[in-house]
Amino acid sequence: MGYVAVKGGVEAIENAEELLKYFRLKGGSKPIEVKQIQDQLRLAVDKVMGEGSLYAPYYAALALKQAEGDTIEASFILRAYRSTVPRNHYSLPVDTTEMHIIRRISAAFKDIPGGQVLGPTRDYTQRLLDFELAEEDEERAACFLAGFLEGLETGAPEGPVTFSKVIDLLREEGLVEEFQAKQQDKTGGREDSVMDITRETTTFPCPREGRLQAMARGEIGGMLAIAYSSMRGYGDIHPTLGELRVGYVPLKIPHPRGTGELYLGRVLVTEAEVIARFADEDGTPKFTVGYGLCFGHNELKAVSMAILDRTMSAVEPQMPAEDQEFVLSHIDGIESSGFAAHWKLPHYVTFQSDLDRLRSTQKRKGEKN
Amino acid sequence: MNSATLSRVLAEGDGDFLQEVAEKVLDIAEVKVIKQPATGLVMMRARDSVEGIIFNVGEVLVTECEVELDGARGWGYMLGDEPAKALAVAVIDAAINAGHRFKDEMLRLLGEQREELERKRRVEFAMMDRTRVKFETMEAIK
Repeated sequence: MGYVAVKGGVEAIENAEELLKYFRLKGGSKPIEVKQIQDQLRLAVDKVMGEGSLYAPYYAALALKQAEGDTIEASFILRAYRSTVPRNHYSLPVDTTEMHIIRRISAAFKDIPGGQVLGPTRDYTQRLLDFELAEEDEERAACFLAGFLEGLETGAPEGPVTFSKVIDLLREEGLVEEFQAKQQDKTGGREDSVMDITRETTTFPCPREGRLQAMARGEIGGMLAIAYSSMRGYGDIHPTLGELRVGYVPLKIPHPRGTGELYLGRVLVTEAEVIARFADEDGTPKFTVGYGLCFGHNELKAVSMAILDRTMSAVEPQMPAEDQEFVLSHIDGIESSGFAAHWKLPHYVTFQSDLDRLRSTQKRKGEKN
Repeated sequence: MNSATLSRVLAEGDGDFLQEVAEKVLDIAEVKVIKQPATGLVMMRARDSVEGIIFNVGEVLVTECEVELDGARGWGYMLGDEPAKALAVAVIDAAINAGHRFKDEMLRLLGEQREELERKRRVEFAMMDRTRVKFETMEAIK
């Protein structure tokens, strides 16, 4: 039977909202500034922007404050906000070779043109609780900043801030699949030529552009779990991380005056290219590559996305991670959390009917025996 | 300054600086607001590096507005919800497009701002460059 709603409870709900606010503030500490969240919880902010599918760092930080740090709730709020703002433009396709890199590593080659740059990472740091951080105050922070920046102003090397990609080098050698100029390219990627999962219903099989869009807004926990299942053995991808990049890409739109382009600013993204085992198409063994790109600094997400991009390319899906419908239907954080949360709403009538049915079945069975 | 550089300086320049420059224009010129600053979304598209297909990555919040000065249009775009900055950018853009008498002075100021942005870029590169790494392969563990 269908869902039967309930009514009433207005006063209790209003009081519950007040109580929620009380719980956030009852500690008596100074109210946290949104700017502090944006600056100091930057990875949480990036996660919320990615899953909320809206690049708006300040509002993502505000959503995190409102959600008391719950990233799924915050991305829900951000996505709801997004739906109130009109979409007026489509950007020119971002070319990630123009990225201003802050981090770039390869697990496939130790020598890559332009070199490897660790950037801001805790990959090589022991996960020990930093008790000193508990003592951090404004004075210490200022002291650190002054010391860190010293010498950078004068000793700044003039160097390239953009690098060619590892995958392009492999392609030049004929080791990976050729760049396929798709039908799509002829139109220059105008709004009507690129599938948009926010505007059209997803059907399966889903074109790769739709899969990439769904993953770019996917929830990291869900994506990581499914990608991990493939890494562990429910599938045979055996990935090597060709390249992982974090940096700023220029965002441009066609100029509103009608000619040329207009630069709007730079957007922080993470990009991953995962090299998988040989695919033996038309007899020539080659590498296959999976691609990941998401808002903000979110390495696990970009890597999971690249792996799932590869697994979902399976011609005959055997494992969950290879099944497009399985993957794409379960990685959206707003959908999954919304569905799980809805079980908390009153189901009194539906459950009553279950009860009635169970009782009458038991009764019939008892009569028979 | 070519238009690509100009749009970079306007998009990334210091907000207070841009507003000061715009104020100077507003003191001596009449500016008509064609489109009030309002938030809008830009769907960001990217080209993947495997097949070269274009896909929708997600939307970016921007503020956009349009003004007119001496019959010339000016467009103001800014990442985020930044109505004052977007309006300042539009005013400056219109003044330059109109060949306003304050234009040369404005371009000089924007030139300084460009140098400041370049300096920031260099510092950013320098701190990244310090984490450049060269890993050595060890002997295989038998």
